Amino acid sequence: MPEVGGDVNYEKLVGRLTERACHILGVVRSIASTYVVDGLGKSPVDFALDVLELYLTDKLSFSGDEEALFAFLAEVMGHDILDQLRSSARKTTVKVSSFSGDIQEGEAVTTGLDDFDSELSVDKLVEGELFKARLYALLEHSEPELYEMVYAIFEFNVFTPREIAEIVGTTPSDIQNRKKRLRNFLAKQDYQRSPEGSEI
Amino acid sequence: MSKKRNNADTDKRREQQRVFLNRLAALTSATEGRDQSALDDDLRECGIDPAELRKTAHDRLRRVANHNYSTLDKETPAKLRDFLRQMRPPTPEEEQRKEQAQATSKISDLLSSIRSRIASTFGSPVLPRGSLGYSFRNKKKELTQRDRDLLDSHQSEIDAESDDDNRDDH
Repeated sequence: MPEVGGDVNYEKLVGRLTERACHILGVVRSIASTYVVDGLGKSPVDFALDVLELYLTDKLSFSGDEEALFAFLAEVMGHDILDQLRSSARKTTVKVSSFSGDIQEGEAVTTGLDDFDSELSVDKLVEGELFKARLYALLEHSEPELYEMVYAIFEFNVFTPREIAEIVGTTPSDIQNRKKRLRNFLAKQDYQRSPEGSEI
Repeated sequence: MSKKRNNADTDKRREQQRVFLNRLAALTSATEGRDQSALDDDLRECGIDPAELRKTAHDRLRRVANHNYSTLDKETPAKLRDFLRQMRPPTPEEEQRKEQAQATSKISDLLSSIRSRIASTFGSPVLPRGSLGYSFRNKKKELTQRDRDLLDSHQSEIDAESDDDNRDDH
């Protein structure tokens, strides 16, 4: 495989990685019960540039074409995001904010900390059952077309638009349209949430 | 033993994360062959300004190049050099040239749209020229009295106009 280098369109690569980071964080924020970005202090752009910096400074080696490079960096970035969501730094940040308010007499200092299950939520989310259950609950009645696409992905383990289209009984381009609708739907779910990350 | 179990747990977690990320990509990824403007639109939908993203990326990686390589007198990695060259913000002169080119292109588009509107408004409709003549020519023997009268009246009108023109010329 040839080493990719001068012929990479970096503007596009940065954009695609940032977009993917937005989707990962957007889905996690929509599905899980925590509001993650504030706790991490990192934006989708930061995650995209972190992984790109590793590649550009030869700390990540890769051989292949531009499309394969994107898939590789997106996967590294995805693991990085999920690992950092579990990080102790994030948990500490959230705990500090709980102590920052005025404490009324008789009120326990740790009120709310026991309810904080961010690590558990991320693990459950990654295991797939929570992710699936929340998506099904969100889509089953309100968005039947999106529901059948999600169902195909989870139950038949199909990933490409062509494979999904075969299961659903439609065209790959219709699947792309549905994906766009799903992105918008999840973004709206995210916007409807309070900054404290209350349930959907 | 414990180390082995930790490794197994890590492997299991990695595999779960990989499946999760693949599913998420399958759920949300856009078409592979998008052009830059479609990608820019999608980024805006995520709340990201593409121009700002380009600038942020260039600034950050330029700092890395300066801090980790140039100031330490080390050679900047080739890929990082390529990135900085590609993502370099335009100079004021380049920006000006770009704006001029955009303005020229807009004016050209405007002019061509005006031309096409004028052509469609005032242009003569395409007629099946000659078809009348051919039909008469091929049906000389089939001319009705009404056709002959019509032709005669047209001919006399043309002759009269021609006489008027000749008189005006003298």
